[in-house]
Amino acid sequence: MRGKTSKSSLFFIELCASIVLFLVCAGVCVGLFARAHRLSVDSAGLTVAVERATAAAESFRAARNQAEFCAVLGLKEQDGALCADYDENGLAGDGGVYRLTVDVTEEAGTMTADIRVFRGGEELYDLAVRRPGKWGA
Amino acid sequence: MDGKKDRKQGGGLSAAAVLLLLTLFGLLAAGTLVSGVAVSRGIEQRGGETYLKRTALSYLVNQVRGADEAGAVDVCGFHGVEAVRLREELNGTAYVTYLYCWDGALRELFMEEGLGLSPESGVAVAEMAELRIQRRGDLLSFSMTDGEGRTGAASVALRTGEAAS
Amino acid sequence: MPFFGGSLLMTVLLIVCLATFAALSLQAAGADYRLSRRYADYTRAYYEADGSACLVEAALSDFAANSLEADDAAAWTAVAAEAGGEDPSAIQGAAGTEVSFFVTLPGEEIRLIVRLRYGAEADDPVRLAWKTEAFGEAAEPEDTHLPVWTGEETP
Repeated sequence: MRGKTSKSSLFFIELCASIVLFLVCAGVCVGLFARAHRLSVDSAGLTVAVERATAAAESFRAARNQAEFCAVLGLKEQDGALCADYDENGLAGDGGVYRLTVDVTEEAGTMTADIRVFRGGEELYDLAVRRPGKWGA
Repeated sequence: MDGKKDRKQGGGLSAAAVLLLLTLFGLLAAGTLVSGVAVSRGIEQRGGETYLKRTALSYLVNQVRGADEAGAVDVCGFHGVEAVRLREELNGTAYVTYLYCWDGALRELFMEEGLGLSPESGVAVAEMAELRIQRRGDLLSFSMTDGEGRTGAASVALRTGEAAS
Repeated sequence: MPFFGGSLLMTVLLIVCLATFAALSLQAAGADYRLSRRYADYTRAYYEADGSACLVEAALSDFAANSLEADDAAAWTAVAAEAGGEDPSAIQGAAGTEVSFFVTLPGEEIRLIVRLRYGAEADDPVRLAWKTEAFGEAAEPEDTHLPVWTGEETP
């Protein structure tokens, strides 16, 4: 009888030890999973930001005037800069996750567009694009 | 007699505690595994989406940028599908490269101009279900759908443009 | 009673599987992020070179519009070099002056090759080429092909 009680106590202790060991290791693994998730979300966000910035850059290079440039990207003037919002899939629409801003300046016979992409107020990517000459009417 | 009853009760409590601990352990293990699987699935899904944008689309864009000469870049029909045609001259001979979607893949076909090879001869570059190409002035726009139904878009402005050709 | 050590052994196995799974997920996500970063950096480098080429074009257009030395090929070359064009050259022809130069993408073995033609009348050039080209190791593909038989008799 004593032996039986002793055996079940040992098993109980063993189980407790297993749980504690598992808790410690699971804590570390959950931390790794959280880090992996963060990296994956950042990677996707950066890729979408680069895609949107590149689309804006190429449209800036090809557009004959500001109206055409804004029409292609769905840009609207806001606080002196041109802005557009995009959802997770890069489709234009109000209240989207990503915000694209374009600031156009002229210098040295060229036009420069300072393109920035934000998500939740954090700047993900920025690109400076230049085109020769000026826009037509 | 009382001693036997006490031992029976003690044994029952011990078993209940063990069972409780085992259940707790099982729940912890299951919860951790489920969260890990969810994270892994999310990574795989996002990885697939970024692969389309980063690989297939940027490949098209960079091929066009690498061939941007006056009159060298064209959008045309190629055996019933939309294709980008890039012309170049090597050692006095005219060659063309067709970039198109055929049989579930983005394909590239490089051949002497006028040779008339079939779309199956193209080298598969990336998995793709559909490719739409649009030209508005100097701006070439690509829109792709991969085998999983994920979509992506890219555009490239021809610096040499229509006026230069 | 269950045999002793069984639950501990099972726990250790479970931990090993979980740790491997977590490590692989982290490795995959990390590789994905590095590729995205590389793509972003290359894109920025391309537009930097593209912008530099635009500045050279603007300088040449200004030279074409305002200078009296527009029939001097060396002057064109000097303007392109001063504006940042690498290895510039200019050829005077019947159609006008053809100027070539390139701009190297920062941090890449790729250059942007530009060829412009300035006609006698127009200030704005006709862009004959504005394309990327790999150089250095990037331009030499790994030779993974089998040697091609050239028709010589084998010994």
